[in-house]
Amino acid sequence: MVDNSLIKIFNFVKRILVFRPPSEPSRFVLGEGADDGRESETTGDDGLWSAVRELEALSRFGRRLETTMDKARAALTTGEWPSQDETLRAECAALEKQWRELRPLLLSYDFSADNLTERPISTSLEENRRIIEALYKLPTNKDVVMRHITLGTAPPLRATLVYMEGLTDGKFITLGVLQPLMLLAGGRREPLTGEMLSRISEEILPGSHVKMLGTFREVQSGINSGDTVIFLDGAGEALEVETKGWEHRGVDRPLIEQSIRGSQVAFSENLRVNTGLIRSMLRSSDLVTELIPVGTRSRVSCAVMYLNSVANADLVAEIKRRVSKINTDYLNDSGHLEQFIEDRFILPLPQALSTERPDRVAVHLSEGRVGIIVEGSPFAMVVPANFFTFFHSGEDFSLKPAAANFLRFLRLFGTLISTVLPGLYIALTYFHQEAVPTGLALAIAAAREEVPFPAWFEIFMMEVSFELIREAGVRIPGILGSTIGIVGAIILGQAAVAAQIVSPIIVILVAITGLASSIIPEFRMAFFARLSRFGLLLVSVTMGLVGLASGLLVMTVALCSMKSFGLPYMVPIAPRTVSGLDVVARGEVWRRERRPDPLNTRDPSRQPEVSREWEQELPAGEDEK
Amino acid sequence: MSYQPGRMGIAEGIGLTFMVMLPRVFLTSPADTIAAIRNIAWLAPLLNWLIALPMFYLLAWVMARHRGDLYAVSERLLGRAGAWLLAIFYATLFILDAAALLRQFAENTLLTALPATEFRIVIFWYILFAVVLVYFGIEGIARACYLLMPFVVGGVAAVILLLTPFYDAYHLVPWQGTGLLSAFQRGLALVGINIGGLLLFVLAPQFQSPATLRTALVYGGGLSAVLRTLVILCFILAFGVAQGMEKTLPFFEMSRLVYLSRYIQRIEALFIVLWVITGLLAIAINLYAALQLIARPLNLPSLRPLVPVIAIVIVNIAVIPPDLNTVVEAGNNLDPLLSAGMIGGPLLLAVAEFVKRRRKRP
Repeated sequence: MVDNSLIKIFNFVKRILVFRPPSEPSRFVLGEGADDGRESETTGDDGLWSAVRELEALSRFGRRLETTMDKARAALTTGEWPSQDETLRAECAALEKQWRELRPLLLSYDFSADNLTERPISTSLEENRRIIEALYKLPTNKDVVMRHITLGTAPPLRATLVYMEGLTDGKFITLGVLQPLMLLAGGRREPLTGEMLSRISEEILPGSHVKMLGTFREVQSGINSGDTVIFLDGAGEALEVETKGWEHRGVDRPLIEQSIRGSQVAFSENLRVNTGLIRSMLRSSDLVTELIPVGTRSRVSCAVMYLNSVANADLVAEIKRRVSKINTDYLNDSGHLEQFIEDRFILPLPQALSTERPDRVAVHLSEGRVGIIVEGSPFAMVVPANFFTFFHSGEDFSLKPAAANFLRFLRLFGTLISTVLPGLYIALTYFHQEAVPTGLALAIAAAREEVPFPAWFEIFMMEVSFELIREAGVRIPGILGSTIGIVGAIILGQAAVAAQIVSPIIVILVAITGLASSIIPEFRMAFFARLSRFGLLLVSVTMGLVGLASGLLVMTVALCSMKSFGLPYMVPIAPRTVSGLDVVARGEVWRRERRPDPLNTRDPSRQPEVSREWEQELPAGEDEK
Repeated sequence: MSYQPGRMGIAEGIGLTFMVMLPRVFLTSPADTIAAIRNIAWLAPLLNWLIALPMFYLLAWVMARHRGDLYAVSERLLGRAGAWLLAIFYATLFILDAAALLRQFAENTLLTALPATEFRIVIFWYILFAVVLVYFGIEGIARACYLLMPFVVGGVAAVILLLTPFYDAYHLVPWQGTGLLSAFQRGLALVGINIGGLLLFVLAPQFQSPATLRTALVYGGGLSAVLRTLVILCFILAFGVAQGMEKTLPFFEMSRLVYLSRYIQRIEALFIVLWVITGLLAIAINLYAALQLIARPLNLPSLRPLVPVIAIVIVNIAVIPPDLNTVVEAGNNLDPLLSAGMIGGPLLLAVAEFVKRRRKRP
């Protein structure tokens, strides 16, 4: 088109009038790109890459050999041979070791697997550095520190320290690892040959935990756990020095399982602090702590604790089997672990006791149960658990039996109310009005006169509102959460009644139900009560008391069919076993001679029949008379 | 759910026996007994229990001499064909018993609790929940029976105690009613209501020993018989024979009569929970027994696929009678068949065992 004046004017007017969106960078869309694992599996380039890596390793060896030969030639030509004799001999010995690693068969095996984790530690420091760089994506990854040093031995020995910044105690690395290696070794000025690593471990490093590593799996495990790994040139193994020192919350008061009497200590996120807390309360050489790493991508330590002469050996073996046979990449919490090791069952009931109190764990361990603690979780699990365990609190045995039993019955009564009350109200008011006393029936009818919705809808609406307030109260941070919870409940209830959307009786009923569910000490059991309340409400709306009875019966049979790590859930009532005076009601502590029978402990006796031995003797002063 | 129903002991046995033998106390059976033998009606449950007990002991004697369950022992004593016939006969009895209970409980629900509800919904509800219970397995059911037993006993005892102001001792006279012989005959005719106890022999390997079976039967069945006796006795005490004969559901009428104050009156609705639980458990136990007796001869690897099939069969049988009168009549007609199973089976096996032993003797 001719670019004449008319066109120019037209373009000018168009530029003025027509909206032109501002230029924006193109948006990112997460799609299945070339990095998708499924595609890379089918590329078939693995063999080629392995061959490339093999050639690279051989060429590095060649370059090292060439450098050594150059050095030797220079020493011979310049006449410095005697002074460099030791150094060149050591270098030749290292080259010989590396050459043995580069035999075609080993080379092919080591480089065939794409997974570097399984490779053994090389005698070549250069190879080890490269593998570490590949494993930790260095230098992109800034958390991993590689510190290259030279030990002042004769000849000098090159070494590399690898550790994770933030997980380690920097002061200890400086004073406990670097200083001895750089100064003390230098002071000796003697060749570190032969059992080089053993000598360093035994004579130079002052750390309390030093061990030798053979593969990069162990190396990774050590570095990821906050330890420092030392590679020495020419050694086919590495040294791991414990330098853990990450920031963690200190031991604090229990936040969830508060008690008036009893211990005021709770677990923290540090595994060793947690096992130490239990050990400080159960001071027995019989208490065993086994550490089982779980997770393929992130190795998290799980501590399995039990009293060796008490806990049933089959139970311990089964728990260890389940924990060690978890195949997942990452585990972050004890609740996460519980779902991996518990038996499958239709009802969402807890199968393991979860507690933040070391005193509770200690008590259960002394009864023959097994404790499981996951690194990074401030909650320990105790298995196996029965239904009644979830209604016990930490201080039950610190109180007199009458007080403890009153509280236990109150909790069970609260559970019953929390589960059944809305359904019972609907069943009675819908289907069986004759069972309601006349005065109460009239009061209910009068209160509901202006309400436009059916009673079941009122209850459902209020229950959902209550759950919303409860969840909001938990999620809103700080003190604001509880304030909003209380204010929300009052305003919502008051406003709903004033607006004649719900009757006051329903507000009272839902409030009582909510309070009753809060009385259950175990959160997950309380959650089950909340869920089953909706189920029972539904069957009650459908079939009245017939529905409620059917629902309760199915729940009972389900509970009786359930097992927690091989232990029937309703034990010691169904099946009937010796209760040990600690089911719903608890007995006097001095009458509890035997451990819980269903646990089939190795030592069923807790204390002799006469545990108050002083009663068999004369009072102090009497014997003198 | 497979052939490993779990490990059970005396408590589970007592629970199962008690729950499977009790539910007729909530149905029309007590009124029928009063109509048949008048003032001595309370003795009939005790008598039929005393007749059933030797049969159980006889069977326990046979079982003690062989390993395995009822089918395995029958196979050894009667041959495969005989065992098949016996298993099918008992399976039929359990199915018929389950159907009778299902229909009667559904009818009672309509009469007492949910008069506006559609009959088919009630039937469906009961069988659905019975199937769900069976899916959880007999071990769970047995433990639940034992767990709920004190509540059932407590509930019945509460009604009996709360009616104390209404009792009139003169209602029991003339105490012989239509005569002791007729009471015995009635007890014999109703011996079949104890047939549920045979389930323990069907599941014998899961119990520790024949002694466990005997103990469970004595205590579970005995407690059930005592409760049935007490209910009929108190029913006669409260209503008298003439009025009692007219009532369709004696226990319901008893709970309806309760009046202690204006706050404790008309508590029959609360007892619906009691008889629904008992009825559902009894139907589920009968269903399980039938399934086990069908699956054993057929050597099926699991009971689970059969559960809906047999449940549908039970529902279809249950809906055959057109009205309540026919239901009651059908229930009465079923009693002799159940009694034949209760007496005939153990006797047959005992005779077979006896003959076999005599043949073995040189």
